[in-house]
Amino acid sequence: MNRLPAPWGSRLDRDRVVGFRFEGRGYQALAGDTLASALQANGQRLLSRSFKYHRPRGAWSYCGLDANSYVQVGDCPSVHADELEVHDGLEATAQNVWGSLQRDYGAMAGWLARFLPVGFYYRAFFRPRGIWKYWEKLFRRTAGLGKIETATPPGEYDKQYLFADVAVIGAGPAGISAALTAADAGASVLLVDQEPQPGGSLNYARFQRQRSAVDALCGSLLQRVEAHDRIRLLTRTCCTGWFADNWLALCRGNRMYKLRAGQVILSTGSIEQPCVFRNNDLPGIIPASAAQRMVRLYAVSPGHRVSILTANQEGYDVAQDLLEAGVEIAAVVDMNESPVDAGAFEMFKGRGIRTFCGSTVTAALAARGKRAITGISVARITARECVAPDHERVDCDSLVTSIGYAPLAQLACHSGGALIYDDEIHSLRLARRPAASQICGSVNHVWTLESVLCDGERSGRRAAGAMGFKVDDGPSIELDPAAQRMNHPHPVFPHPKGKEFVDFDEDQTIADLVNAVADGFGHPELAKRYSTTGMGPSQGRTSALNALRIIQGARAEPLKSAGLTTQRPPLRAVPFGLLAGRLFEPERLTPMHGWHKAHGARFMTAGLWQRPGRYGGDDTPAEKIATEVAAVRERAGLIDVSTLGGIELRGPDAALFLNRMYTFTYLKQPVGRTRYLLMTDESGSVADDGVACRLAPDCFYITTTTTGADDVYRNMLRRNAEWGLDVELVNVTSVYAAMNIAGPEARRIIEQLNSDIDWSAASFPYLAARQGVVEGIETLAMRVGFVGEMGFELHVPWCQALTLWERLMACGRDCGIAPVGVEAQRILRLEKGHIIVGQDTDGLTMPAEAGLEWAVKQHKGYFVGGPALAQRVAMGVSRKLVGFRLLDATGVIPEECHLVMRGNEIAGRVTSVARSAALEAVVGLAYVLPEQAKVDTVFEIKVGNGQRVQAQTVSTPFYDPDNQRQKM
Amino acid sequence: MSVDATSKRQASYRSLLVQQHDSAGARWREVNGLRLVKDFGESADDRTSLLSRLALIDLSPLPRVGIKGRQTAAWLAAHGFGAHLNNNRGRLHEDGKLAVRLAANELLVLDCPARPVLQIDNALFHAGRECYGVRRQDSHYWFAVAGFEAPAMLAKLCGVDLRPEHFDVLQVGQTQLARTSAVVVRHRIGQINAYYILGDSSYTVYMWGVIRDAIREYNGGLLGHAVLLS
Repeated sequence: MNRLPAPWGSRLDRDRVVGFRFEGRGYQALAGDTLASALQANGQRLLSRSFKYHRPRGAWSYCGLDANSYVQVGDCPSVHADELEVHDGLEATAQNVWGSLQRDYGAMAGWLARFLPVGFYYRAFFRPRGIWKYWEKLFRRTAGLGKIETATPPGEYDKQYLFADVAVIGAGPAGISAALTAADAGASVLLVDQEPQPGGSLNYARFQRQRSAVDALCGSLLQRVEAHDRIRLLTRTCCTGWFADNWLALCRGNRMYKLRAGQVILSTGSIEQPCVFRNNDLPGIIPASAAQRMVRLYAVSPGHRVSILTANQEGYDVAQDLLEAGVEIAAVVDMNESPVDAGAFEMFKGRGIRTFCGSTVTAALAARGKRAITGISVARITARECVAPDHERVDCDSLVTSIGYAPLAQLACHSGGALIYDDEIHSLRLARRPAASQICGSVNHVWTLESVLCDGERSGRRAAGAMGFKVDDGPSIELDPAAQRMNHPHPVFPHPKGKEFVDFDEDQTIADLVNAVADGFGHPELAKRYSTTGMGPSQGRTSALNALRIIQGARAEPLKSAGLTTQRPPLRAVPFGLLAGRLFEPERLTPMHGWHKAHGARFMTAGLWQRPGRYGGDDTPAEKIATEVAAVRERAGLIDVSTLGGIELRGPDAALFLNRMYTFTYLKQPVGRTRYLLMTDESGSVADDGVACRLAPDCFYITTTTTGADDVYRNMLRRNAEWGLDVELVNVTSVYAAMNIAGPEARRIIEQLNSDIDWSAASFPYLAARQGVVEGIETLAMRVGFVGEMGFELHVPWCQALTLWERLMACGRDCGIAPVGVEAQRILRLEKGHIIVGQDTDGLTMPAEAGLEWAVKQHKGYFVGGPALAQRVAMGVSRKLVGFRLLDATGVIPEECHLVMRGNEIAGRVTSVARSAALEAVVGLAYVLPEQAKVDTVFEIKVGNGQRVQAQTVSTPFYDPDNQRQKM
Repeated sequence: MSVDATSKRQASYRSLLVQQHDSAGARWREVNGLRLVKDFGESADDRTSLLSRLALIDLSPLPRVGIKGRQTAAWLAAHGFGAHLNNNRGRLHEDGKLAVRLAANELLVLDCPARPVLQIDNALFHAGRECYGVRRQDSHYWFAVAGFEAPAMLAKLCGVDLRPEHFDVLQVGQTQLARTSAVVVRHRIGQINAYYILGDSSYTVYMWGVIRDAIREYNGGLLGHAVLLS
């Protein structure tokens, strides 16, 4: 391994060597290395290939902020090699490679570049008509970078809320200073940084002083952070989104934190921008901060012979760093007319380093295969985008550039912040901050270390003050004069041979952007979409500023007037696993669930409820359902109906309230009697149904459908508040469980229970309700007939229901009682022609269409949906729900939603259908045209295979038409 | 609350978590006629350690009742809880019972877990609208989560800031826990920070499973009623 000696490489543990593989070849690294630094130490700069032209790419920012370092690790695509910490056994491969990383056939696309201008696919592949679908297959294959492994087993991901008075995003010098100040004032602070160690630029930058002084400062600040009991530090954590009310998404490992902060301090720093010249994307060309990270953190040199291109002091600092590290400097090229740091400039010259002023790099000279550079071409800058014709060649294998920065303020834009271009500093500036936030450090264009610390302190004070902690105002910060010297105003140098890349993600060049403007897509938002500049994984962090300069130049518009593109979360790629997190899938169980399970129930969902669909094994389900149906018809069945909604109404206006909520009348409903409930919505369509039981003159207990309970209760609360009636409502769905014992033997079984209720027909007739104590359990019993047999529905306190259920099963054993599931219940009710709201009705069904007009009493006065219903009834019905019987019961049986046809016209649909053993027929319910509703009318149903079967309208109930059995 | 319907009820009462507790090695015992999980076979030291770090306790078999109607304030005063109680606050009775005001016309009264004393008059459930009872022992599960890791664990399930410095003792949160509605009441078990969690009974098994899963990360565990007596 090619390493600089200690103390270079502060993150390395030189005593621990780890082995890893890249592109199938084994390498060694030191603990603490990233994949990129380890490969660099092994002489391997090339990491992957670019998206469009498959150009060779190596690590660029060295901090995971660009897509040049993407590699594939196992089944995980697009992992930043300059962030990924190497560990024993790591295996990584390059991305977007056709052939091999060294010899990529996709690179031939570069030869065709002149035929692939910006927006080529919008213009070239849609003629002749229909051709796109063929081209699309090719483009789908070429799109994307890494590989998705669809067979990847599910991973464990989680989410967690975090809370803080103050959240500080970015633990560089400004962020740490802000965090300490806010915490000292009493605020709870969450300090977040995406790197393994906090400190930001304090870990690698020089700040125009001896590194030892910076190290000492960094150590002391971090010691204070660590010791502070009000600061929680989260490293390796990336804030990917900033949403309303300071809700921040923090991604860390396999967990997404959902942070709620009173105040947010943005101290995310800034990112260096590339200089735009020919071949500026090749491996070996990196920004100054990347070079400093390489030598300071990982003890690797950017190259053996390095040139520097600079427009600011940072370039001089990095040159001195490299010299101190023993790296050979080939040249220092200062873009300014006079050197930024004259003393250093002369010192370089004195050491035999070639120096240039008022000059720039016009091209990087590519080695064979463009996998490295062999030198640079330097020329004097004569005007904006213009250089002198005389070029000088400098031999070097690496170029370090420092021509300016863009603030990492995208997060602020997620939450209402706005960036503008500022001519004074030649950069973007956050002109509007999100509410309840502060900004400090280089993202705020404060650069000198003292100013940065002071800016952090100011932000910390303001944030703490805003949270109600007592703080002094502290000094205010003027614009840091250094800000005006950081960015070159226009570091863009077109080359006659092109290949000056503005956007490394999408391989977009100066010509592409100029052509986008020429094609009429001049506004930055349009140019972005047309050219895809800024749409890659880097999201414009390294391209937006230069693209803006080029676009506005091509439009001859001032930069200040440029409209900027919109920044949207996430800030960087987020695995779907993190977005999904832990899946909470609530399910509701009745108190008898364990019993059902133990007795072989196969469950089906109804809303969130788990209901026994049927009992017994998985084999011959139809027979098992038929057995349950037969049990009810011939002996007795016990059905768990605990999932029905339950609501209690108390107060003198309870009956009036029901009268208004439902279509039927309840004012005169006798105590101890039940009555059908039909609810319509404001449009007069059927919304729910159930049973009302009058327990006392001022007290009702009502049931709702299983899935409608919550909506009905919520709706009732709203209406109650609006109407101001004297009634109290309680949702008692989970207060009372319920079971329905039905069948000719039901009374004989129930009479065996120890109870104070007289179950005889005379004392407890059909539709009556009785309250009593059954087996020591307070019970509300109702005579119901949903399944068409004598039945008692018993409502008992939830946690006592299982006891009663077991007693009923025990008492009914001799009579052949059977537990009955939903599937059998549906057949039983269908045989009676009873509808299920939601299955036999839809969002537009009015009662008259479903044969429920008998349950609508318009004369009683207002009820919800009444006025609309009156109008709709006056207009007539366009369909009717009828009972039908298949003429050929041995043929194909239609399914729910199969169409009722009249000729080739759709006349309606089937809503329920089943083979009835009791009727020895296939019967169902279907919507038909009104003229088809007459009994004995034959109509056609189109079944799944397109075949048509004939059905005949029949009157309902199909079974026991006189309803004698349920009244026994 | 003078007539005892509680003891009659216990004969037919069935915990919704019997299978879960049994499979976790629960040892049962009766306290005042209530069948409770005594412990899960842990040692006294482990019990102390779990309680301090993170423990989940099923209090569902213990008596509790809802009081609704316009006269809830009078009911509070008449039953020794004092006159005024703000919404979303709780107040302890001298015998350990806890009254929680959920809304202007709604209270939740929880028995003292260590020494169950609450006697519920059945007539309360049939009283008029001015002040009547709701069977919260049936409608709601009742769990306790205790230990210094409890706020962090709950932050995996709930968006409310439940940290002790931001959520007072006897403060009440009516919120969402793992996508279901729940009432969270901050309390103490001895000197240990704890939270009562109450939610719809039909979610009992779901929520028990969710919390058990969530406490694993913090090496939390299950405890029985014995911990309340230690």
